Amino acid sequence: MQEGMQENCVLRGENIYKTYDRDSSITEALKNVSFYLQKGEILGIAGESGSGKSTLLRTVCGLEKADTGKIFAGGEELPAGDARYAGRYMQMIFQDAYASFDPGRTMRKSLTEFMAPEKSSPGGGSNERILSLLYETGLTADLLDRHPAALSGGQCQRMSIARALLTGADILLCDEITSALDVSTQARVAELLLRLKRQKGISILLVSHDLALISQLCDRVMIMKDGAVLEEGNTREVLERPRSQYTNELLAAARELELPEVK
Amino acid sequence: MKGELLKIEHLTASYGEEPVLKDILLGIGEGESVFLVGESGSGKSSLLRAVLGMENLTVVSGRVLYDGKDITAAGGKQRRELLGREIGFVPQNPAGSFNPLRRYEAQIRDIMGSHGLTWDPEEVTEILEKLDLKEGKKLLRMRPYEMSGGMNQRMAIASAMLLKPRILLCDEVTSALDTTTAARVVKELGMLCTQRKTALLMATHHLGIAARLADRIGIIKDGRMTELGDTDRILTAPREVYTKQLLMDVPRLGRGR
Repeated sequence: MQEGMQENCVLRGENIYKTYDRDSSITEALKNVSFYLQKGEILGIAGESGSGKSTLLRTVCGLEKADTGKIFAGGEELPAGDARYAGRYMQMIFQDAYASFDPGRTMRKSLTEFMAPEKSSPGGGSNERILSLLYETGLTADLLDRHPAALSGGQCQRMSIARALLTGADILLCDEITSALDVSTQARVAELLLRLKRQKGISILLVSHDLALISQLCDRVMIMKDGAVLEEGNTREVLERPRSQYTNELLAAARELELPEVK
Repeated sequence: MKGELLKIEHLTASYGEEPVLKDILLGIGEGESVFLVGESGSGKSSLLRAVLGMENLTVVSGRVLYDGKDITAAGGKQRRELLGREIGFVPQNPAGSFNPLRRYEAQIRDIMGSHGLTWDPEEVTEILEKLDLKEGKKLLRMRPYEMSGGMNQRMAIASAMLLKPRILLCDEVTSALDTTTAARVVKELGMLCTQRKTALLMATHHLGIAARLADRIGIIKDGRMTELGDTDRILTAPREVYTKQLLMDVPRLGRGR
């Protein structure tokens, strides 16, 4: 166990800096970002487009390499920018689920390819594991013979969650995973995340610009702006008593689009 | 109904054999704002396409009336005169509205020119400002591929509004925007439409946007208008089970886990 790592902490980022050098101008995408995620916890990361919230997820799972800073998972420091290595602990779920699958392959092919080798025993073992994960994510076995285009948006997003869990990872990094979905489909996927957290102890970093969704799902929330963390804390406390002016502005925008109560 | 600008009378339409709209009845008054809410595939976009007369959609029965005239089968010149100046349209995919490589200014000038309107830089930047696109002059020199989806979307709204249509049809125009921007754009678009008495027919699955802007909301499911009523009534006292379910599925701030 790393020093300072809390006992049930499954993922931690320390002083992460990330800059992009484009057309000789430097953009600071992440400025000294630190966070922790506990087992079975959902941590929301909220902010507008360009706040750095997606970059943070991509850096944590090794798709991008941080300039400086450390990322710890499972009690060890992860090699920077190594998505394959980080993949044993965590998997990323993207907004566009269709783009996450090979359009020319059936779901069965796409799913088996991503199974942790030690967990796919010869014979029927791997199939059983797939079937039980499909069940847990609210899917049915007949969908396995379909190509991604023949799935609905909600089914495809569930498939990407099922595939992520098949790898054996128990941390999900979710990047706006419900924003392309209908209201009702979004609600069902949100329920799925809560069920995975409660029943399987899955831990989730949830990036969203939707504070209402965050208030419904997240134990804690982190507000980001221009690559920096403005505030962090218990979701209810942050949303009821925000410390930063910016959080207030985000809340005001969310309230603008809030529905009245059904009588 | 007084001043009915657009009237959809018992419209049934299909793509090939597949019926996508079933017996739709809807009237929209001058300056009124009606929102069509439903899931993807429910038929809300198809209803807009039927009004626009898009070719791949076949009207099986019923009519579309604009300003009292039957435009269901309007084609060629008559259709061209309607689209843009009378009936404006902002499609869901903003990238489809512009050539990605030409500067906005050239494209918007062309659009205005082809409708016999003159380019007024002040008017254009003012409208951009209203849609929260600051530094309009600079933006107009940019090309669509250099901008985010959300900015392109607002450019498409601006170019549609510049033609001063009497009714604006919008298909999911806020889906590329984050909540903060969506709230601002919706507010500004609402004010702009009120000022100009532009009627609005908008398809969306975002009930929060409908709550903010709509005079009336129509709920569409499987090609049918399952419920239609004043916004407040639909949102606070829905009658249909499906409407109640939709409202329950919208996440709300501060409602616990």
